[in-house]
Amino acid sequence: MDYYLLIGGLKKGPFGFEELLQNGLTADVLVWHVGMTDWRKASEMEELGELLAQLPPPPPNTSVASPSVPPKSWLVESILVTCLCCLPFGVVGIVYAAKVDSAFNSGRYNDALHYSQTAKNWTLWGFFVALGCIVLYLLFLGMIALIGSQSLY
Amino acid sequence: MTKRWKYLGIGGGMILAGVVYYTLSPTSSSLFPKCPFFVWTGWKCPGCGSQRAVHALLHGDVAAAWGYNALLVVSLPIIIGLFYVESIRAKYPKLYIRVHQPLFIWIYFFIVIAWWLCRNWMGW
Repeated sequence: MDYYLLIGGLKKGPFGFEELLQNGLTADVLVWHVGMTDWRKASEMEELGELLAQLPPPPPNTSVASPSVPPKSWLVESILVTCLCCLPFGVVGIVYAAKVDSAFNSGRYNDALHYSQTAKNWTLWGFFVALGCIVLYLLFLGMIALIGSQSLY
Repeated sequence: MTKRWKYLGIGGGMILAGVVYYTLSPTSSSLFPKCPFFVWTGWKCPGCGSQRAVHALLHGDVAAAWGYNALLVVSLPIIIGLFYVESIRAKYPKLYIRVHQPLFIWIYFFIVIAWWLCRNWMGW
């Protein structure tokens, strides 16, 4: 007998009885074959019982409630970069810090994580650009000192 | 282990910076770089004057520090408080959430922007 499956809104088939498992049959899939008036859930069809028995049970409920601790917002670091690093990167970090906490408070944990990452990037960029400037500046001073000392000869 | 090294590095760096900023004055020594934002654009950024302010603060001169960079003087207590709250975040997440209210962060953000505009337009 030829069976049709409805998976994700798409009709698939026809399949022989033996092929059903390989083609995505689960307890929740709607099934139809010639002679039936309408689609029925696989779990309601006795003849499919022995096939469904070979499937592992559905996974346990893994949907976890949002963690109670918000992701790191990089607020302090952004403020430090704003006040000390002399580059406006930190200001952007502060904006994203606010977004992290807004998103977390309204239950959008994934958005909060995303904003946290963005805040981190801006803050660290600000820090390392400033650090790079200081190192370059000191190298520049060192070079001038070197040239100055050589011209004495 | 890596965390310990990280804290050791940060602590050591802060002590070194403290000694350098205490002994040398950014006003008279050319060892300290100028703000790249100021050099490139001719505008002061929110952090301009911080090096001189840190030097003044290390010598206990809050008034002079205020004159160099008022934002830094205002921010220091906030920074210390936020670091403390963050260090106990895992234990007291509710305190952390209460302190990290978007409203507070936005207020701080607008203070920074207002400070940035004022010091360029009014020469603060």
